[in-house]
Amino acid sequence: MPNIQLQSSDNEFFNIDVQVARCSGTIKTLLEDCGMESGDNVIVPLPNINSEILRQVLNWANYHKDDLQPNEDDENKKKRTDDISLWDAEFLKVDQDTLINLIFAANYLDIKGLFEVACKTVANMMKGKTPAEIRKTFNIRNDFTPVEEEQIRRENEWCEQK
Amino acid sequence: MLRLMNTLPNKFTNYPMDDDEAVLPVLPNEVWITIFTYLPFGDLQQANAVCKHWCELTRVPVLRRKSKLVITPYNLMDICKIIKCQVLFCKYLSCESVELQDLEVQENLVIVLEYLGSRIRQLKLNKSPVFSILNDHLPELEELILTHLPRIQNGNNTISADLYKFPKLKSVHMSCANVTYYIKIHLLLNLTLVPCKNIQRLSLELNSDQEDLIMYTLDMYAHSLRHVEIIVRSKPSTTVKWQEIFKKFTQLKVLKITGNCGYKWLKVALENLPKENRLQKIDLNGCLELNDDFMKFILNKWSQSVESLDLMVCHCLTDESIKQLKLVKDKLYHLNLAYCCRVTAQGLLQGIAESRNDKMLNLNLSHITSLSEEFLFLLTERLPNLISLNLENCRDAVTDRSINFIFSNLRHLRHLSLNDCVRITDDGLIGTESSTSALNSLQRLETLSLRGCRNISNRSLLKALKFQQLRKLTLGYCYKISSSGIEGLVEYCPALEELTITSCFMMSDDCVLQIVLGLPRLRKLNVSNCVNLTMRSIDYVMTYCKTLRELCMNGIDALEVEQVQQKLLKQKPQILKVEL
Repeated sequence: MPNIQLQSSDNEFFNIDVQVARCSGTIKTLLEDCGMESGDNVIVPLPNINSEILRQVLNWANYHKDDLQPNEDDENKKKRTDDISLWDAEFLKVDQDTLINLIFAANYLDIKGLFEVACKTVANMMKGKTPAEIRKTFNIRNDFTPVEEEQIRRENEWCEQK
Repeated sequence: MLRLMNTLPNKFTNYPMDDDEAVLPVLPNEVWITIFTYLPFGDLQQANAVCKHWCELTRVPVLRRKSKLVITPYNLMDICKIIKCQVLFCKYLSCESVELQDLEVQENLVIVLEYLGSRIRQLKLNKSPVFSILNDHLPELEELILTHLPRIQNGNNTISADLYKFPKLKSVHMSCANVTYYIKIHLLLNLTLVPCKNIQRLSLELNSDQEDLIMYTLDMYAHSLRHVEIIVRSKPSTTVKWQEIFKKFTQLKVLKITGNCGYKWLKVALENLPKENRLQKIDLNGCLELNDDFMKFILNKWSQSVESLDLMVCHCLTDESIKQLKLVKDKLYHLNLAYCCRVTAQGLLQGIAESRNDKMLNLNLSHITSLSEEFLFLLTERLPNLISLNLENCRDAVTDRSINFIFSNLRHLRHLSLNDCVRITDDGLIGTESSTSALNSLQRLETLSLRGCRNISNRSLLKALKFQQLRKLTLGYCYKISSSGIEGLVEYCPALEELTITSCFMMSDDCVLQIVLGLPRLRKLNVSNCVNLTMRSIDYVMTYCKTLRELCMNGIDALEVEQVQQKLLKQKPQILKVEL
């Protein structure tokens, strides 16, 4: 199996096999565009991902390397968040910074499965909470003036679920 | 070694760079939007109120599609003001789905439609006979829904809506009994005089006075219709003409015929409907005379396409035809057999659950009283993907033992109704020391109905009903519930939007106070027949409840009805529906 090297922002090198690397749409396209589909002797620098996160992403990709690509035409289905596999749920039991960084990396590397499951996990962290509780969870500052807050509240009141 | 530099696409262009916002996790906008798409409407509204950045993100069109703007006499002025003073801001108000409630033709409404009309795709006229101002403002309208229109506009004898002015119109719903015939006839004439070439769906009420006109309309649109609903109020006078109409359909996918049509007419309709119409959904709720032979005929004829069957109160049906559901079980995801009381466990198992069936999502078996515990055990084991289950009044089947089958086997359940299942007790919901309840595995539950489960007490509310995402809860005749239980309820089910606690005489004014203080998303509250409530409850609702839109307090002697109504109208006009 041909190998490829990924270089993290803190200059650690990861030697991985091409099939795992291809979980990333970004790397896959890159290899194809540069005519290096075998991937041998290639170093891909990833200046936005540190070694700690990259290690976890590769861990995920390694476990899921044989998964089928998610179906694109399922878009119309009601988006579910209760279908996270046990393995993924365990994998994503990380602190919030790590979770956000994983989403960032999955988005950057275009790893659909990881991106989706991590987004669902964040969505689940918001469910059932009040705005104040959400702010606390994600450490967000309330930048509304009281007047604006009241206006938002009233406009929300005018809307119903379709 | 080859080194690829600077060739990765740059995806960092549009995430917030504002330094003040450093506390906000740094993710690109589109990532947050993706996360928000996983939120149900109620949670999306909370996210909307978190900070300015999220407020903007949660109002992108793809997320806005989840909501419907309801324009009422109460907010019309405010909406108008926003349009006049903050034109930039009014894009946030814009919605593809709009409902007009309790409105008459007036200048402000015209202004609002001028600004918001160009995006409206779905319009519901609810107690708002304002046809005369619709014509020129809704170029994108696809769906028109009429309800509660018992009269046309005051002193104006014409409704003057021209459906051909809506070139994209696909769907007209006018089957509601409380819409005056004058409007229905007008719209039918409108449809027949100038054809709307995109019509795919018609929901009509069949009444002897308009039978000819309805036949003419259906005949005219038979080739384009995909979805037909006919609510039969009086028995059709002819079968011969109808036979010819049903022959003409070619692409029907959804067919609903309910009401008093008579077996003979129904038979003619379905026998003449060509098989090439690949019916996916068939709704024959309330066809009392539908028998096994004809049901088998239907299942055979559309065995390749049927996905959803509504057969409520078709009480002639027995196991003989229910067993034949196996013909469609590869596709069937929705089955409603409420009140089909001759159906038994054996027929159901053979029809839909002979072995594991991953397809079935929605199942309504309410009032099939012969079902047993053992049946529920097999059913829940074999239908692991159920999202919605209704077992109202299945008293023998639903016990403390069998609810645990439900809880542990049906992990995807979102809607559960166990009304009148009187054998459920706290022990079943909480679990005993030796076996803890599996209720906790239903963390995604959105609606739960336990009306008439009279053995449930405060203990269940404090120890079992803990659902972060529960939106709708119904408790009724649970006479043991009191203040200490309500304390648990508001703590453990904080996302409740609709709460019904009726005929619970231990409910006090303090309970109402706990509810309005503890449930920040509450939109509908029904505490009818909680006879110990007093005017203080009304005061609490008026003082503390900001989100409430519907309040039901029937049968409470201590309320001075007129006084309350006036008070509410004056101080809380945003409560749109009040029943006392």
